[in-house]
Amino acid sequence: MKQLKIGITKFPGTNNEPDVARVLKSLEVDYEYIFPDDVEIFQEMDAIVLAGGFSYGDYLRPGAIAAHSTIINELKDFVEKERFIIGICNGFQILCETNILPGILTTNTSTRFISKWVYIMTEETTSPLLAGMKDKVLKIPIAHFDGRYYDLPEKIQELKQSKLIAFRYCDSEGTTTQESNLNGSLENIAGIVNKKGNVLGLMPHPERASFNYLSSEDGKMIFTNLIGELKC
Amino acid sequence: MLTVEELGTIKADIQRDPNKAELAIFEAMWSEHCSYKSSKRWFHHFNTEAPYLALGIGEGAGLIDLGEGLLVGLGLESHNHPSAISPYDGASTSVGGIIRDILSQGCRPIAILDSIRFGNLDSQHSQHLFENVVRGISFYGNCCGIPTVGGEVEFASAFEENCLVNAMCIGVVKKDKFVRSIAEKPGNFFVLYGALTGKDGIHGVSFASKDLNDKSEQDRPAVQIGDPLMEKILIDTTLDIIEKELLEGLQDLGGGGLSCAVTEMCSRGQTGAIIRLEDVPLREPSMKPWEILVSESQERMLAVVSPENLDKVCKVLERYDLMYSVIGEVTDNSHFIGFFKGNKVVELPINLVVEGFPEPERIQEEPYYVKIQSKYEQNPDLNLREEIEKLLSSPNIGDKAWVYQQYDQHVQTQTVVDAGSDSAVLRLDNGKHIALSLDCNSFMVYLDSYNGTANSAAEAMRNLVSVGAKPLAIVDCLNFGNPEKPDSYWQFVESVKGLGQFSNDFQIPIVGGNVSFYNESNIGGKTDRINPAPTIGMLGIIENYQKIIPNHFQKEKNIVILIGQNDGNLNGSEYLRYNHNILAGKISPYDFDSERIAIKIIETLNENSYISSCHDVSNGGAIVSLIEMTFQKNIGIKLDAKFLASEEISLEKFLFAETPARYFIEIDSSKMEDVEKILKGQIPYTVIGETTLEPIIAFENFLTLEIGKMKQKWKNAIPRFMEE
Repeated sequence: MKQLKIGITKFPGTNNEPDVARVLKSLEVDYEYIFPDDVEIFQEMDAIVLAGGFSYGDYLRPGAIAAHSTIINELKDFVEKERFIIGICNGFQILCETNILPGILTTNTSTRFISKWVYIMTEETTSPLLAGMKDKVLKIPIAHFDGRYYDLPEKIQELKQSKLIAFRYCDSEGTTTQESNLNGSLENIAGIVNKKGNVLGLMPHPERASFNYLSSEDGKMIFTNLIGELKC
Repeated sequence: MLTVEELGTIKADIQRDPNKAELAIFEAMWSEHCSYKSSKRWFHHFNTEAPYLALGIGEGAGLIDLGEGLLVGLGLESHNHPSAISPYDGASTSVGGIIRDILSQGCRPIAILDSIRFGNLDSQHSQHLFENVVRGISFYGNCCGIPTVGGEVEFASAFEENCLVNAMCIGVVKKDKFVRSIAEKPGNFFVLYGALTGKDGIHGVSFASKDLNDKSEQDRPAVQIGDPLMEKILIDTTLDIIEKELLEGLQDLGGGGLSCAVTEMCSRGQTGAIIRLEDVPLREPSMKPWEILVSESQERMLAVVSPENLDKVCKVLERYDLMYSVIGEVTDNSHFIGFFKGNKVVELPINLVVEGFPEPERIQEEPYYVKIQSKYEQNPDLNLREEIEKLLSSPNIGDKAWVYQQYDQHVQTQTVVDAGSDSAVLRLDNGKHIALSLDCNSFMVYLDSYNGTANSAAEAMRNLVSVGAKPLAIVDCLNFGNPEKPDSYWQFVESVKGLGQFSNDFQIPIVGGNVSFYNESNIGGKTDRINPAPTIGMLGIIENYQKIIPNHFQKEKNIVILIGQNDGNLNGSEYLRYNHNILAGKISPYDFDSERIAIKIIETLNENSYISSCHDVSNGGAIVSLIEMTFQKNIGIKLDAKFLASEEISLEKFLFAETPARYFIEIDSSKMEDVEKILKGQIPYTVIGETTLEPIIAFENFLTLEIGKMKQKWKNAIPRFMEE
């Protein structure tokens, strides 16, 4: 079997790519940084992680400029071929800006950046990326200025009915309270998947909760699920 | 502005009148900010040596050798004047500047800490400065992908007109890859890369070298504007060039701009330079030569590159789509020669520019207030609950989460102990851990600049010791008033002596820092001066990660011991200042022996794994430290009041005095016998109580404080002003 290789996007201003790489390395998976015009190597990747940070300085709107870069066509092609994509933080924002995932991520209700360890509840979905995680409460850090998930009421209803909500902010016991919803997201939404289940976008940082020397390893399962799926 | 004496020195040296461009260079380079003309003469008090030092004071960052081929770089800088005028831009460029200082030595930046000071939070002006300084630091640091892991915040009326913003940055570089800010070999090229040069920040250093006044608003063009996206690209590009080992020298363009970077690098290399100013890429094409020379536009680096590596360097710069220009060459004639469109506009001896300034006479005089005694004896109607609740709601004591939760603390996935503890702890790639602290108690320094400074340094050290780290290096940022005024200068000199004494006593080298004078204002006919604030940043190492000590109570039925002796001195304490509005009297002196012995004891106990948790006693005194230890796990303590107070020391003094060299430790009761063997006869200690699962702090039967209620006061100390 050929060696797996996961692409990690690197736009100017992306800054979490070494953190994602560190996790993949620890799981003994090969990776490559994908720059905005790296069209040729894009399709050679087995999966894509859109890493967090501030692509193009968040200028205009988070993710808005990256959503118009050359590799986005390749990304859309990837979605159609039902290959796996995970967008973390700014990566999630890019997925919403490109309409690969529905909804928008707007400014936190506090109008301030929030960096904090939080808890999220894993909801029931059909995505293999979340296999075996249903009802698991993850301890995981967030770090964003624009993480408030928003969409029209009927769209939110559709997300719920089609079981596309992946994670919701909750307290340590797993209850989705208003207090635990730090950024003011509708329905406490912290992450969603697409209908085919091959695209996951989330604001919290699983790569920052994947080592025993940090306060939590709860985020690692998302990456092991991804690798497990790619291997079968 | 240059003085008549300085102008005379210049004319005598170059045997002619300097032209406009040359005058601009002197005004920048001989400003207090760049030249250290009032401060340098006292630096001999500092210990600047250590066997593990790879690069000492004098360049962008000091470098510490951690072994196994790894160096840690650290630097600390002020950006006070700009932040007072334009808090968002001033604070964000403070972060940008210190990052580039670290980068100048080839270090990959891995952490930021900030020390910020404002007027009291009931002032709208202070709220505005505070909100926007934090926002500026947050935006810039977060965007660059560097975690902000700690720091300190202080509020006092003395900072109402002159807020302080000091930023510290830490980086790592492999030993065989580090670069110096030096231009050694004639024939090498100067390559300027990064952002375009514009008219922002012109004469920023001169602006920072005078008092603020009613017209300071007009100095807004002297405030630099930051672009963190450009900085992030600059970092990525520079690290790529460093990894490929393509540079002979590197310095960022900070205070004094191009003229400072060129002359300082040549001075260190004993060379000269020819610079073609028309080759500097400009944002505004109409800029005059003197403006190009001293513009402090951000996100620019000046590299020294050998002819054989020039193509390779340009290639990397092109891959990252970064603007660059080869602007000149290193020469052997020890002069800075600048051309603009074929005309020679600068011809100055490097030595004259960098260190030729005449040392101005400075006079010291002890301020009148130092002799004023505190009239406070004791509170006859002491209501302990009220006093404690009030103290916890002081913004100086209360939770700083409102600040640090706006900073990304976790990017780079190395932050093992978050902001909010005594020290931040980071795990390095080689598995070693470093601890970082940044401290100053400006009230103590105001009352006694010598002892207050030494004790502030000791506090930074105690914060490292409390998490199990061994202190290795100091960076300082000395924030003072106008050095031309004798009482202000006295504060500075005493402070330097105090820090010098500390660094020599503990053999911890000072590896970098800066001096910020003129933190005074004359506004509406009223003169305001800051409390002297020498902020001390400290780096420590934790060899074995299993010896990292938590700062919070871990489990019930453990014994809590106070290490060290309470001297009952309330002077300078937050209790007297905040609760009783008194700031006067003689503070507790710096005591090397007590500090040394306490550290040795904590180290020994930790080596034997006897300590479950540890927290040093600082602002707010013993009671605040104890209450803080209960917060994280809601584990309370039952205090044994008969041990607390004595005939000499009342309960009030026991609880609120901020006597240095003290720590609380939590010990498993089964280890008590062994622990006492270590303590007995070595150090004064007091067993003060036992932890409990009940969420209370109980003083036998006369007072019970509920943790939840205390926590609410403490958590709300800052939001109650900022969340309206």
